[in-house]
Amino acid sequence: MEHAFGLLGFAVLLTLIFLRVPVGISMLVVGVVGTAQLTSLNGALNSMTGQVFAITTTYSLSVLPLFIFMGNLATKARLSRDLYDAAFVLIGHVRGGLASATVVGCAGFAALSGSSIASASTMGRVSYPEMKRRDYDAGLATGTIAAGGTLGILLPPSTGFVLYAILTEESIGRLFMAGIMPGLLLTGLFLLTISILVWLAPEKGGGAAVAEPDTSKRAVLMGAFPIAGIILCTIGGIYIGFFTPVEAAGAGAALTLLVALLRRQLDWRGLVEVLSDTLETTGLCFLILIGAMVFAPFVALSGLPATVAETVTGLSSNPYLVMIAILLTYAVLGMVIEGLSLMVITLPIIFPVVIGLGFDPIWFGVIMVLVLEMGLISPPVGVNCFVVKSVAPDVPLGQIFRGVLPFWAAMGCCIALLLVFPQIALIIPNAMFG
Amino acid sequence: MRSLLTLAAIGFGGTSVVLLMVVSVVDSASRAIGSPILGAKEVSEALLVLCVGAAVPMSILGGRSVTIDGLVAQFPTRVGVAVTWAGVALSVLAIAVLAWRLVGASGDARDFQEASPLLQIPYAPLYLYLSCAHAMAAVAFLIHAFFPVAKVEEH
Repeated sequence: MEHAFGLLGFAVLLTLIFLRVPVGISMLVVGVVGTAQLTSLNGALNSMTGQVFAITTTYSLSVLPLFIFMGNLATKARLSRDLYDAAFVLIGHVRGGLASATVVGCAGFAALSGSSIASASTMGRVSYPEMKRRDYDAGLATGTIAAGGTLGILLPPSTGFVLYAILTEESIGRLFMAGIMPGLLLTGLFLLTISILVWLAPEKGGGAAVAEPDTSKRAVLMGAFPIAGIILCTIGGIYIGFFTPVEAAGAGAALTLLVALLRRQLDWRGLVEVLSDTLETTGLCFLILIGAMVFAPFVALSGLPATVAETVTGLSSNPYLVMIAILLTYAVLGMVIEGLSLMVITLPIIFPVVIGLGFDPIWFGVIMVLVLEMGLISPPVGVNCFVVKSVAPDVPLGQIFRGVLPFWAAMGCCIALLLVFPQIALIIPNAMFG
Repeated sequence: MRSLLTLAAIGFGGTSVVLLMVVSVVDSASRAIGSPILGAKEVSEALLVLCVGAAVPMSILGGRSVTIDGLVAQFPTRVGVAVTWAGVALSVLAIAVLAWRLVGASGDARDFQEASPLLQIPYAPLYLYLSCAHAMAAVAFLIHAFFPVAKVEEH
């Protein structure tokens, strides 16, 4: 009986979300009302305040504002320009090289910012005018930026991994490390996709091969040195066990602040803007998290996860078939529900199923983030495509969506590889933590 | 009202983010030289409360709450407006109830002298701060509903 009530709660939640009620508020309301129905009103309200206080005093969640601060500082200090220039020097001279440089730049920026939208927006502003000037096909140019931006949520630090870790009580550091190899693999697959596209239709990759910039190679590469230092310090610091993720976030933010100040690219007004943007993004994440933490006890009390686990595992004896069905469902849902929201809404139900099937929770975290990334570039709510539209207003949205299709296929290949070879994700965390 | 709220939020929240960064750097540095700071984690937790309390109203004021607009956009204008206002009313009510309950929790925390284990940072003021922050968030929902801002990309 309770699980039917759980299903009803889930239906009400989706209705509220589709009626434009903020996702966090929808979960909060359904969580409180549902828990009140299953226990008592006073118990539900007490549970709500307890959960809110618990989530706002969770030490490991300090990584969120700190990494967001670091990413915003990097944007303000124009580190994205340096990254793009360095990638341009390395691979810009080959046909399609500007698109490849964009992907490499996005991967580098992803290691500074945990946000896909920030990566697409920042790198788009730098690379799109350049590709347009060189007569790149608009679909290839915008598709590259939108897809490259998705690396932001896979390569550490990643807000997606932090939320997943909190909701499933897994290690943030382990998840960060698990994202490295798949992130690099996906970067490689994106580069391969560009090469194939340009090989099939050379005119897509601009009129002619691009000459190297006037500035000497050495100077440009040296310009990217501070960024490499920050990435090495934060991600490397976690890898060798010198930093916890929170400390790495603090050190990364401090180093980025130092670089921005030394380059005189941050004044008082700029710092206020950065802090304001940091708070807005942090608030967005926490409002969803608060809702999720109030919603989760209701789902658990309703017994819905157990029922779903029983039903899903009964569908097939092959766990991989079940996993593929779950991933396809996520891919479809990701087309209509924003990625992080989809994660927090469904994890309390799906996670026990995945564990019951015998899959590794860290591996599933990576796979899940990858599938949600696909949603970021899928119509109709492919947020990254809308972000790219804002930096390339002359390109029709339909052309942007068509442009990302080959990269969508590349992401599908990456997921297939991870399904067949889970070690791609697990090799680094297993080497580190055993 | 909007600028006052924003100013207060940036003052509290911005300072707490910077202090959070300083505490984590100093803590890791002092740990590296063999003398970790006692209770740094508890200070960070208190700072996180300050940060989140400022961040939630800020994100609402800035129109950053995650909503899915596709379906409502298909409704006739009047229905769409009615649904949107119903959503605002529900959001204000939910956040206001949360703020009210947090005041009660603050009283309980004071009565039971709840505090962090090492530094004995009292929890009652933190509950009260969160309550005020959520009351501000409810106000922020109303301000944003009456005077929505077109979000300008800052990158």
